[in-house]
Amino acid sequence: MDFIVNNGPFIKDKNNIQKILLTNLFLLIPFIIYKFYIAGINSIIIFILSIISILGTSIIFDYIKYKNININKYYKDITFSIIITIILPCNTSYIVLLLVNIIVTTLSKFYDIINIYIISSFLICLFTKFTNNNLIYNNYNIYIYSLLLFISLIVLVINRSVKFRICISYILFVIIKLLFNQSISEIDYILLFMSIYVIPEFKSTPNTAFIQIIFGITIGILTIFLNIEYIFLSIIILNVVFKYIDINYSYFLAKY
Amino acid sequence: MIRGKKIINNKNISLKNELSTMEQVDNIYIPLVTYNNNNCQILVKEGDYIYKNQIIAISNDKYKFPIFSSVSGIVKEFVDKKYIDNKIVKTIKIENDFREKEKEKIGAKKKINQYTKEEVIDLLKTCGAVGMSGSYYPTYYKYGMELKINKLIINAVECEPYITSDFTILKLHTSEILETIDSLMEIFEINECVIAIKDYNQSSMNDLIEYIGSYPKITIKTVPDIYPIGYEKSLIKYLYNVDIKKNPIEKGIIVNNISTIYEIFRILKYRKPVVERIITISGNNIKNPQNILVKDGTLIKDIINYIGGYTKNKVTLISNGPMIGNALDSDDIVVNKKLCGIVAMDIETTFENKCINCGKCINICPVRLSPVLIMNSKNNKILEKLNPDKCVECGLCSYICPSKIDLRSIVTSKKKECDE
Repeated sequence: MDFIVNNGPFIKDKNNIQKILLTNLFLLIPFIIYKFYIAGINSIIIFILSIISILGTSIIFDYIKYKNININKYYKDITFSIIITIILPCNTSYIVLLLVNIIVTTLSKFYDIINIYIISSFLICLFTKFTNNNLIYNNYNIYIYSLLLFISLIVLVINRSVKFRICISYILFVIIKLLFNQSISEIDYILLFMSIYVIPEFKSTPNTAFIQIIFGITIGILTIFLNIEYIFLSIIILNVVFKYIDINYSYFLAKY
Repeated sequence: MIRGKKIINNKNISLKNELSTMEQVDNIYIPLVTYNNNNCQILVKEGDYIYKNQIIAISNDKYKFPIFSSVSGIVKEFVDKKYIDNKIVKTIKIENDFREKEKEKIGAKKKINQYTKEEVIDLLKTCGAVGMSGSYYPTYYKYGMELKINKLIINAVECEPYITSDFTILKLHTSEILETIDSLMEIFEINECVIAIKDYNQSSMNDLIEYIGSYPKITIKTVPDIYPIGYEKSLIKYLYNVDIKKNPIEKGIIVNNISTIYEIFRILKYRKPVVERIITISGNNIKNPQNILVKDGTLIKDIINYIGGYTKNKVTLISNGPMIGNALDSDDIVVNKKLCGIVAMDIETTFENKCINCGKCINICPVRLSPVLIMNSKNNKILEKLNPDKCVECGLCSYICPSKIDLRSIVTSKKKECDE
């Protein structure tokens, strides 16, 4: 008889990183198709340039550092490319896009805790203006978009692939903002999208349940009052602040 | 809200077959294992004739824990054998004479409530009653503390997957269990007793529900099917919303599991030690999974051969269940009352990935620790703040981690670092 010895526990949850990444990627497909449909050729070019810059940087970095390329590692980079394409306005400068993607992808290899979507979006926004009155985006069907987001949220929550407390506490404020807006603009769609795919990003957000809710509420309140560029900046700052609060809250929970 | 997770329990596997009794074997290896350490004073030597239930060793600590022979026969030698934690322990090898001779024949006590407190505590001590859920804690010590016992909780939850020994005992010996609980309540003047069972078990507990009416002070409370609600502190929190810092007796609460209560019954009834117990042998790599009554000192390989053997040549053999148990590197391992069950299964090879900071381990930990922060702690100052001593090693952090990081082992080793 052969006895195989491993460390316990010997039963594990079926969820794994691959499943989480693929679920996210799969759910993003309708959004990117919708973006291509509404925004046209520019968004397709942005997507292609993002894929090239982000995936290319990752592959080159891994080849130089590890002498090894594993295709399964790059789902996250593809997700990054899709999210960036959906968030950024169509008038984004291609050169700025390429530079920022390369820089942020390289940075993320050294500093694992940054929210790459927000940092990229913020840096690009320093050179590109979000247009509030873009008529094309008024043609978005807010109900279909919201339904898509709602389905995504349900699937992500069931698959346990999202920090749902942040999503839900943030999205309530986005809805409040939408209700008070006279018209729906591109930025409103971006905020709704960000509430599920960007704000609750794993690495940069708090871990404890209570602090996640406070984090979502804080960003939600700021979202009502600030422009999108300042929302990005405040998320970057709050990620750092709330990480610190989260760690100290963990000490408190462990003590009591 | 109680933290935990519903996990697949696979308990029906071992309940398909009836309870059986292990055949007598030629040689028994009584492990010299105690609660605290394994430092024992051996009271016999090679060649001595031993009676069944005779004390053959006693622990060299404050508990003075007696170790008994489970058979009558001749002491052959002192042998090192592997124990259920994979460590080597000293054992006394006894050649079984198959006579089950006892030095004294003591008649059964008609009513087990006709003892004083002191008599019960003394009997539990001299008969070596221990916690049978794997803790091996001397039972007399709980009842012997100088604190009033207000509540008695009977832990029939048994949330460890595959293991059904307590369920089997409760089903087969319902009246004895209830009689013991009632007697303990009378003797120790305990006002309240709750039997905690999982909600899905209630429907199969017909006898319990039928007899409970005769015991007005004993109530049944169902608990949700969440792991690890069977853990003492989680159970008390769920039932009474009370936080326990160290020992439940501080709040006047004693928790015993079903196997322990049944052991107490046999000790109070027959006034002799219990040298056998029901264990569960289960898993998809066992031909005939079942519950089986085995004597202390039996080897696991003999038990598994007796019930039909393995289905494959390569298995992972786990003691005490797949969540809290250890993988054993052989089946030439001695059994005693610390073992609740053996599970033989196929384990999928998983590869560890980098932590993705999902926070699942933090939000699921029943004692509110942060396994990921403990894993990443760089110095002892931070480690102390994170309090890894509180870890109960339930394994939920490792279970839930999508990166398949062995968080439990990491937290356990950090716990030891902290102690040093």
